Amino acid sequence: MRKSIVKMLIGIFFIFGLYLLIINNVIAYSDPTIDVDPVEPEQLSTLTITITFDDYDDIQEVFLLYNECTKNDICFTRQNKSMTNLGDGKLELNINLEHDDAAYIQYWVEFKTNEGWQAFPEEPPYPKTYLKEKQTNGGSNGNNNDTPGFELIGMMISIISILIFVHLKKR
Amino acid sequence: MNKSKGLILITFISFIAIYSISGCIDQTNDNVNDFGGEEFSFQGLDGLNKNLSDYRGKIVILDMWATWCSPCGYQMLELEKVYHYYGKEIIEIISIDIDQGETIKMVQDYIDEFQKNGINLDWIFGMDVEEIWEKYKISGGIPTLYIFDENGKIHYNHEGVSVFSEIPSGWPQNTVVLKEKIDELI
Repeated sequence: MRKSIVKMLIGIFFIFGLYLLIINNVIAYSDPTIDVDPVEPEQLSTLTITITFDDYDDIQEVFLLYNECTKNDICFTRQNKSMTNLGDGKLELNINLEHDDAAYIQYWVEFKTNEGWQAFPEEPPYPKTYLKEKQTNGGSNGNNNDTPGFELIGMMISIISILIFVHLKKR
Repeated sequence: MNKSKGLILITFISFIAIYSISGCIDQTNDNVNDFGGEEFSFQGLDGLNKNLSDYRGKIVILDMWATWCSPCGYQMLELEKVYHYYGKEIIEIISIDIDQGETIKMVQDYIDEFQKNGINLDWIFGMDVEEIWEKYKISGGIPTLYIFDENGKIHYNHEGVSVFSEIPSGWPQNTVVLKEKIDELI
């Protein structure tokens, strides 16, 4: 009698333990990797962000959220864009930077799985890519001996054209 | 002579007419109440609608922010100093999350995170439901802050981080000091 009760209890505990294992078996997604190209983009340029998921099979939608911030601690409103699926767990988005005074861009990912929406990172601080100041053609020789600015060349062509036209008219 | 008198009379009558008609034109501004104070609505963290005019009689700081804005997080530390220096009898702070993609829960979690570190953000927080951001943004960046006087009129606004009373070492000397701006109203 005692032996049968003990066997029954062991059986119950075993089944209960198995049940606990099953209900606690949550799919844990490994953190995606984020690559930025170029590594140090210029202000107002276009950069490409690529996200790679190791376990992409259960992921349904992926959005990249990002915003630019200045060195004076002003952040501009965030953008939220769907990424292009390249296959093999890779997704990509081209971003056109919009602010000529931005010092960095910060970004994070939101993705939809069978268990709902998840984010990476889950909360700030978010990864950042610092931006180079945009190089501008000053339009003059400036401090070096490079070719003149394009507007100067255009002006010279216009002046020469006018002189030729006037000369031909006089003839 | 009669001609010039007639001209003067017509001019005078025209001025009177224009003055009278302009008085009949509806000059109401949805953003301004009868005393010239600003007005806006927002959703509190309790889900209830609140208005700027609910806080007339106090100096109000409107702080526009979002959870993803790290400079805004620093701004919260300075606002905490402001709030506890002046007290809620004199000043009210309304921190509005301008990102309409964020939720009350996200804001509450944000506040709770500060509290875990011993920083009490115990002023009013809310969500932008009626385009506060569209009305009050300066050049599109946050944090952006407005100071309204006791009648709801705009006293000061600023885009970027500001400090309570002391500019930290290494910061630009032209960093906005809130105490100076608030003391102008007291």
